[in-house]
Amino acid sequence: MTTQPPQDSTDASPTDALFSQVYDRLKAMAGKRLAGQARETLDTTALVHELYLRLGSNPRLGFAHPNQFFTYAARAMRHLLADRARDRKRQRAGGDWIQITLTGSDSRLALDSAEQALQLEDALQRLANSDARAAQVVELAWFAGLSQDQISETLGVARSTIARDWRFARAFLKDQLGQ
Amino acid sequence: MSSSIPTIRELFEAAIALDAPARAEFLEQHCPDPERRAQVEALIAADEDAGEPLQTGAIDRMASAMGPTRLRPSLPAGSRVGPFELQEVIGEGGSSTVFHAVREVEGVTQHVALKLMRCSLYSPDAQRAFRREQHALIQLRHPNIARMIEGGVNESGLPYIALELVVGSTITDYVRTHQLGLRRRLHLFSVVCLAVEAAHRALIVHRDLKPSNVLVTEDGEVKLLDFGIAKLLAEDGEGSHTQMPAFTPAYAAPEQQSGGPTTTATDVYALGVLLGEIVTGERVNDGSGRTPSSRISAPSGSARPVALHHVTRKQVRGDLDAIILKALEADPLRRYASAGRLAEDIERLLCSQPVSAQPPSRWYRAHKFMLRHKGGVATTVAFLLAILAALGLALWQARLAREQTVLAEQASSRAKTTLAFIVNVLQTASADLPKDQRPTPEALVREAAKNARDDPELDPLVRAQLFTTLAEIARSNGENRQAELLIDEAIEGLHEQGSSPSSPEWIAALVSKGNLLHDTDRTAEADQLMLGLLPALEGVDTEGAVSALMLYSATRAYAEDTDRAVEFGTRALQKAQRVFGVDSLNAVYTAMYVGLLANKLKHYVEGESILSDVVARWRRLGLPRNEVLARCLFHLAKARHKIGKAAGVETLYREGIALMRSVGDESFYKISMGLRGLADFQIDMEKFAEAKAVLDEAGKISGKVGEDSSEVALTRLLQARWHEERNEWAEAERTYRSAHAALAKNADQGATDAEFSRVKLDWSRALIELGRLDEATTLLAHSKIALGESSGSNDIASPDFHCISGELDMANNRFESAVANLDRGLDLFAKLDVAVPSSEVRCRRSRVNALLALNRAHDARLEAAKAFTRQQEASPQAKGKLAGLLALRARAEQADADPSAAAASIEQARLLAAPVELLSTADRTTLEL
Repeated sequence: MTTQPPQDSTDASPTDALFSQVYDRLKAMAGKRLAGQARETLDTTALVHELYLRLGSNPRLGFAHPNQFFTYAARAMRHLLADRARDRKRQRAGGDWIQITLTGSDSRLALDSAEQALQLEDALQRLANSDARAAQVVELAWFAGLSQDQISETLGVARSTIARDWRFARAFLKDQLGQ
Repeated sequence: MSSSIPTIRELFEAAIALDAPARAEFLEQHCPDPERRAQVEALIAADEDAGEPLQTGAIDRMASAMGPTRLRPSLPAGSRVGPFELQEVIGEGGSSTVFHAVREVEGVTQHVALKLMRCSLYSPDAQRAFRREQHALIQLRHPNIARMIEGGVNESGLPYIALELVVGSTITDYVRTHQLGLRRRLHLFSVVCLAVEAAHRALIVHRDLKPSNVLVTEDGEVKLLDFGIAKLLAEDGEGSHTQMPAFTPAYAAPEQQSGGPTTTATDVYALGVLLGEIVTGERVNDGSGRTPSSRISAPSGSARPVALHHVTRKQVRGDLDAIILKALEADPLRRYASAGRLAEDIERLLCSQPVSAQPPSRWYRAHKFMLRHKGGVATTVAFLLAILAALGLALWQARLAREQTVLAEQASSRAKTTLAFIVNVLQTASADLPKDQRPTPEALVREAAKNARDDPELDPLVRAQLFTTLAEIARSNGENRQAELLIDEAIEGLHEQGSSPSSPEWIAALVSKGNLLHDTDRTAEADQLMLGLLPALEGVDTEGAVSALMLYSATRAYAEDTDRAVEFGTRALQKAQRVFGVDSLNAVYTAMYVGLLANKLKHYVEGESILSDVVARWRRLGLPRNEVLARCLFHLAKARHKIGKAAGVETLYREGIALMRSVGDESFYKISMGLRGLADFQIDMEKFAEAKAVLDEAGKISGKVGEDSSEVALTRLLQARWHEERNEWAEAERTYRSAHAALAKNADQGATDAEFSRVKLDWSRALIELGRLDEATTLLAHSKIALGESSGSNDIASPDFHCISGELDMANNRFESAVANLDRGLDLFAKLDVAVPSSEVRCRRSRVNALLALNRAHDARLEAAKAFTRQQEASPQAKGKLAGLLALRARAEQADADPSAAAASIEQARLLAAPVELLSTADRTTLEL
């Protein structure tokens, strides 16, 4: 199998140089998008793919295979979501100097979403503890928008194995998220 | 299912494969723990339930609802931003607030328009880009462009820009309220075009031209606002094709909206919209397809507020329509080549000369040319990749000059111009063409070069760099002739421009030429070229300089000047570490190159130290575990093996082999490289059974490359050595013969020269052992001819030749001659600056036998002691060899009439407990085994 992005929890600072590059870029891109147009929905998959177009083919970044980029980007996107959710919760606690100018309903929605994102992160972590590859399959599908064929290619694992991973992950997460 | 406790997943998967009753029974049996059972049952229920764990788009909605982490601060009047004090708000934009602000400069109050951004710059890259860009903008001075005074970041981390405060009205308001006639409108517009052109010449693109950025003061003076600001604020270090919505959609060119590259043509488009609005009062690019003139109401009866009594439809119809439409072409290639060209057409119109708007441009013709050309899809993809690689270099180069902001801006604009140019060319190669109509890479390069050559407006430096880039592309396509023409043209162009020999573009061009010469077997010329460049590289810390030193090191290695090869490789490494940082990928790769070079030159001590560092860094930095790392591991293992650091060698080989295996089918044969290294090591360690298994596998893999490929030959060489070390001479002879045959078929490839003379020597030794002396004599004579051609200081074949000649002499009972030959061989071994203990020990062993035959027992005894010591230093693990050497020493001691020493030697040998089958008959007899 090819290189994996670091498997640390999202609280720890990522040590992997490539990973932090990808993370920083995604963060900058997402931040700018959201700051620019408050009403627009952020398309996380499109962000990952846009970043891929910019970085994925860059030989200096040293991705052994272009697909490898996605393992990093999906992990980075996942971290980004969780980090943003924690930030959002901290802001409510008054830990930030910045005035919050969101209106009441926006603020409610923002906090609910943060809560939801953290639940999702928890569920993914539990899945990773139970079956690391299944969690990675979910990560690639949800955060990088890869199809099962693409995931199979990216991880170098047979398509049928990915399908089994997905079936397990789907049941696991449905159970965890109570849907 | 494994024998241990099954995991939840295993239980789940086994259970869902069963029907309901069987499932209950299965769980009963395998999952007695009620808690686990409940868990598995919950999973099964979830599995059977339709629906997904998350709704489509749920993650996107969460991310969006949470919003940006930092929200907008509000600053009251009187707040300070940098040196400025804010007064009132004079404008609100999408991402910024504009204040009227003041500061005292030497007792005078300076009024500025201060633009404060709402978002901080996230990455360090974006912050650097902000500083760099702002420097370039401050340099931009033009009477019709509002000056940028200062930029910075306030205490809260928000970027701000202070601009010359302009009091005036937008150009569209101005022409309307002053009821200007068409000629005066066109004059004003032409002033706008010339200001834009001036900025373009300074390599700055506006990106957001629109009426509110084009003001006219009460004195009738045109002032363009916010030049380059859009980029300054959108930049996140990714170059000009980054398209965050930092433009105004209504005035944005199609390529801007679709995220294509932003070039000067983007501003030309916006100028077209502006011109349309100035003459018709309407935005003419509303997608209706109406001509500008048709928007002007007939003079008879119109009551529209924007009615332009001073401009008539007739005045606009024809040439002016054509000019506006040409500026608004969707395809950037078909617009005016520059704002200046647009201004010229306006001037021509004012002088009633024919305008140029009609005939298709050169770009347009080029476009058509490529549409007509044919080519395959695969080559087009390869071509695209080549371009990306080449551009990576160009853009990288641009970034190097970052500290010197003006230079940096120029360099990066040049790189971007290059990018835009090639992207333009490539648009025609895009996927919407049928396969058989796609242009070939050759045609694309030729056409791009032709365009670059013919375009009179192209900056000569840009042209020269473009030629270098195209040459690199041609080279990577294997079109060496074309590449050479292009690179020569680039060098000539740089020469005419008076480029300094230490400028990045000059170095890049010469390195490119050098690589080309090296690729085309003119390494000596490349060597001379780089030698000439060396003085210019002093103190130049750029990527180009690193490449130049590396190339020189390689050409020196080819000339077998090992000292300078290593010296310059090391200098390249030091430079790379300065330029890129010790932990950068470039520095690590350079170090790897130097390490591999040292290994190749058999400087294993240096190789081991450099490669150890490379591998450690690779691991620490979490660099991808790829084929490159695998190669590194192989070479590190080999270096350790050769300098006698046996511990860990096998682990390194195994790791590299496993890694190589995981990389994929296409590089499968490279596994055999690692397998051979491992087998070589194991043979030296006398782990014959393991070595056999490894060699069998290597044989299988190399067989796939080709029946008689050099891969197969190299594996056979080791198989033969395996037999030889076990004294299985008949097998060894046969295998050497077949390795020789395979190598002979590949002899013209050059790379196997060393192995070819090597196998002749080894084969002849086997023949000598088998008593086939005539054959051995002939073969040895052949190997001498082969040897005559190469005689580097690290050529171990040369001393070996003398040693084997000595063995042949012995077989022919010419002992005096044998000793002379063996002495010569040992003398040559001593002169090598690398150690080859196995060959040396063998030579000493023969010398002992020759001396014994000449009854020089005391000399023989001393030589036998030396041989044993040497072997013990080199590989104490080889018990069979050591025992054999002790037996030999015992015979010499016996002959020297020292039976007690001999008995001690025998005792020492027996204690080694070496496997008997590894000993020769004579040694077995001596040791009474």
